[in-house]
Amino acid sequence: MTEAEQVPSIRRILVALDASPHSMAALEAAAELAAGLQAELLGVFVEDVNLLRLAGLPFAREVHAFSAIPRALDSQEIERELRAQAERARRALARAAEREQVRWTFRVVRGPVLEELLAASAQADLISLGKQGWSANMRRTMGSTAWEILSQATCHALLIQRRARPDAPIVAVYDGAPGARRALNTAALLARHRWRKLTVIVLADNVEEARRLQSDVARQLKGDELQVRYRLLVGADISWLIHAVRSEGGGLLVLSSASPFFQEEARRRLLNALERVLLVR
Amino acid sequence: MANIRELKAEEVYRRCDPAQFPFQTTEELDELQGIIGQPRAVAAIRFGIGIDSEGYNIFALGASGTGKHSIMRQFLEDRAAREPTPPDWCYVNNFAQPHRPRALRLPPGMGVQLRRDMERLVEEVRTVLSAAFESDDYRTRRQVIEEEFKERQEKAFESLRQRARERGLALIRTPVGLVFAPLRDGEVMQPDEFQKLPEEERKRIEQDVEVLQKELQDVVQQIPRWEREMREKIRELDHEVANFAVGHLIEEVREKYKQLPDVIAYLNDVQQDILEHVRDFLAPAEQPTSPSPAESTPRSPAGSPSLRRYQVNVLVDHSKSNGAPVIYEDNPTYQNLIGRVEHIAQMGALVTDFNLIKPGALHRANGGYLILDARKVLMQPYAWEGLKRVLRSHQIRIESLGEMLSLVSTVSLEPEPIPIDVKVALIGDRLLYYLLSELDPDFGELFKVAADFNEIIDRNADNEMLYAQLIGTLARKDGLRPFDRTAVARVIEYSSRLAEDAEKLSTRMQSICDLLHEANYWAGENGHEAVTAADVQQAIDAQVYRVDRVRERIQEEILRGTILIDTDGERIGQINGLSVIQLGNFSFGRPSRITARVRMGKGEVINIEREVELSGPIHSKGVLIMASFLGSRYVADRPLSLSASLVFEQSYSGVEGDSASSAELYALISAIAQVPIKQSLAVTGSVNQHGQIQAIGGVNEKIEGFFDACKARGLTGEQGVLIPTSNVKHLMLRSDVVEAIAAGQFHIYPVDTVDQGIEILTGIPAGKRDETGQYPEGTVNYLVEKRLAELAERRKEESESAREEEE
Repeated sequence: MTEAEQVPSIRRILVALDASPHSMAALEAAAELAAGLQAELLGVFVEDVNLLRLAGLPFAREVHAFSAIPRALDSQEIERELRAQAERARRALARAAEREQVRWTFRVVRGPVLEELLAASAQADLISLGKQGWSANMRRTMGSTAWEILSQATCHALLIQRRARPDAPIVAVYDGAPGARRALNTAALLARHRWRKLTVIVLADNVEEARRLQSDVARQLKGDELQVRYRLLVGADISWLIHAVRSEGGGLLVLSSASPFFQEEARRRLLNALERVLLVR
Repeated sequence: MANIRELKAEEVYRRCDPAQFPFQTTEELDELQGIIGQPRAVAAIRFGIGIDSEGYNIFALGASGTGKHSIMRQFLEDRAAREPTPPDWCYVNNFAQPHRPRALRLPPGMGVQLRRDMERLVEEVRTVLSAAFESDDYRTRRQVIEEEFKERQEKAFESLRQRARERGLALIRTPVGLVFAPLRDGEVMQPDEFQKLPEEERKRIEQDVEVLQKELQDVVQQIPRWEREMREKIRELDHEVANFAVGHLIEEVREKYKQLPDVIAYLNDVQQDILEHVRDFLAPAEQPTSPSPAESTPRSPAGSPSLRRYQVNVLVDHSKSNGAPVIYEDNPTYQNLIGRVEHIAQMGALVTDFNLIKPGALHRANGGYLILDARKVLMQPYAWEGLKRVLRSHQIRIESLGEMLSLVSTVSLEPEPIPIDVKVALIGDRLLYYLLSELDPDFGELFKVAADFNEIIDRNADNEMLYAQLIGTLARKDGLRPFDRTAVARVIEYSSRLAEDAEKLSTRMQSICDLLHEANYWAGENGHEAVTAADVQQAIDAQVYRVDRVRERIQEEILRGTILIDTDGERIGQINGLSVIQLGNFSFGRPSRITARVRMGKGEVINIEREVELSGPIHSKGVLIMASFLGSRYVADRPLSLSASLVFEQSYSGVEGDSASSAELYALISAIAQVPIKQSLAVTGSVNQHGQIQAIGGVNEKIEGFFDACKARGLTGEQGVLIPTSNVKHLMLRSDVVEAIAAGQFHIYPVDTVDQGIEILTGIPAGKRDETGQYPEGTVNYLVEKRLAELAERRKEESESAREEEE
């Protein structure tokens, strides 16, 4: 195994918590991973500085999301709300960590959300994110914050919309590139820890190459007691891939950030379409 | 004294001659067909079973052990086997009103089938529904609907956001709401920066925010409506998918039951309900909502408790029945008759559903016959009323007793009443029948057929042969040794004694059966192949020995002189009377000394027992009759001027019955005439106003009681008993008594009149009035009349001298 293929050990898992449903799913997934990898959970709650600023504006009116009733914002009120939210996030983290029996820390930081999360991610090996924040009911696509973190963070990133079914396999995409090997190894690592099935989607330009890559993978995974299934895709585009992953029962997709399918427009479609993605750097 | 008659040995015991039987042992006999000696009861039962009109239920009455039960059962089963098997009954959920479960009537055997079909249906529905709802097709369609909703929302917000951006504002999410804020370099403007803006700019921003905020409010208000629309669409989709998936499954079941419109209607309801509750089928089975009570809930094979409502509660299953049912309910409580609704404690509350309806005996007997013990029914609270209500209304309505009495108030059911067609056979003793007829106005209307079981049958050669057959049949049925003909003869003699009549046989099969079993035991002990007369005798003796402790004790005390009974010599005004003591099933005779004293008086006969309230009404009546006879016979034209007292000596517990009235009369006559009575004789028999001796009960026991007392002291050859002639036919005496009579050691004198009796007792002629109306001198009657006349004369003198003194 060359240096490039080595799986960097995952010791610290950062969870961005904002108490939204997606972030709860991200927390659950992170806790599960942490238990499997014997890693530590770092919970972080960012008090959005923008909100605090808003309260200082004289005309700011908050429209309540459920009753549509506008009311004046005041900074004390906002502080209280944020504290309540942070407390909820902390409790959820404590519960999840206790259930999975992993070590955990929790902290609250104040500042711009994106910067704070990026700063925090620098000290972690993996960041687990809800696919959308609180504005979920306003948009169908991925949240802007999550998007930016995926683009800018240097650690692995786990993007979760909903928890996977317990029997769903882990899906790795393999095209022979070094990044893809790392992704494959990470996927195998996770599968080993959670006794899951592993599906390897082999991407190639022609059938011969696909067969070669498959035996390549088989060699790599030899000795692992995993249930491995192969799907060979020849000359596939992004919609084929999405279809293939979905038909695997909605398991976690493990993909290298260097993969051609993780560039530009393909990336957007991929992330919008799938509910669970682990991006391996 | 020439007219004294004495019974011969063959008159006091009617033997059954074994030689009359054309067999050696009962093994050679055919099975007894039919029933011995109950033609009236059998005719009534046949009639009661045959007639198909309202109120013709049967009451079998008669003494216990006469075979009411087995005969009734035999007839009913015989008849029921030829009748059609009645339908099955099920309770199913009433989807419109769950507290009123519906009753379904199905051809025999179909109930269980329907239950199985429904179980399978629910299982299959679950499979196909989860398959359908997890299919890509469904998911895609559902996602399209959800996407449409999101898109709509997103568009609304996006256009807001767009317009905000054009005005340099951003839409920001707070923990509980949404806010518009001015942006500067992509970040929310600091308050002090805002303050630094020119007035005009600030005004513009505030106005923009105002306008956008209004629009935002509109959008937010729209969202719930859009959501509702989305949910509605999803529901429609669910319905469509489910209907497609489930429709053909239910159609298959429907096809099977297409002859039964009720079942079809039920299945239609089921289909409707499944479509409305698709989610119940999709919930994972192993996820009970509340963990602890779910354990106490009976888990259906289909799993989740909410699916219990599709189960079928088969109340009455005739899948294995052949013909109409004949049910005997041993414990006829209200609930065991009518059925009940059980409850389950769940989270401290009692809950129930139609699956917990339990059938009663009436349900099981529906379309057939129900046998009940009248006494048991009457002893159970409300059971009798409940039974009558069902018979009257022709339907079984399950009502909880607790609720009827307002003792409990909990969720309960009102199951649809089930129509019933049942014939009830009550079995009880006569007293119950007559009491019910007297006291319960409904009884006569509901139980129109009385099957009266006789306890005795005539003893003749034919019946004796039938009896032999019966013994053979019983022995074979119960696995006993065969009975040889001597044993059969002895059993028949025993049966006669049981009937207390030499000319009758008992039909109390219970006692006969017991004797057969016991004789069989002794035959085994004695190593006999077949039961012999000796074994039967041993069984009888052992039976007596087991229960005769008290009798033995009394006899012992007589012998020791604690109880004063003379068995020889002569006494004036003293006689041996005879009484019968009944202890459980065993009765025995006991001699009692009766004494009489007379003196001058105002004509009253004092019954000392009565004075101290130890005399029963019949005994008192006997004494009064006797006194009346005395007065009218001897002193018809003068006042009876004596005062007599009568007493049962050493009696401490009351006297009842008139069987001692002749003995009391003899004692009185002896006392008046001052003629001694032979103490070697004992007397039984009642007397009427004309001095005739009338029949009494328990004659055999009475004779044996005196015989035992005499025998213990040694028979003198003088001893004997006077009995009414009309009791001679009842004599079936013990063998040792019969032997003593044959040997002339003991005597039985049948007596018709007081005069006959007094002659035997005193050895002096009683005397008849001659032409002049006078009794011949030296006769007892002469002495009596003379004494009474003297007393009357003396009394007259006394009253005259008393009057003179007064003057």
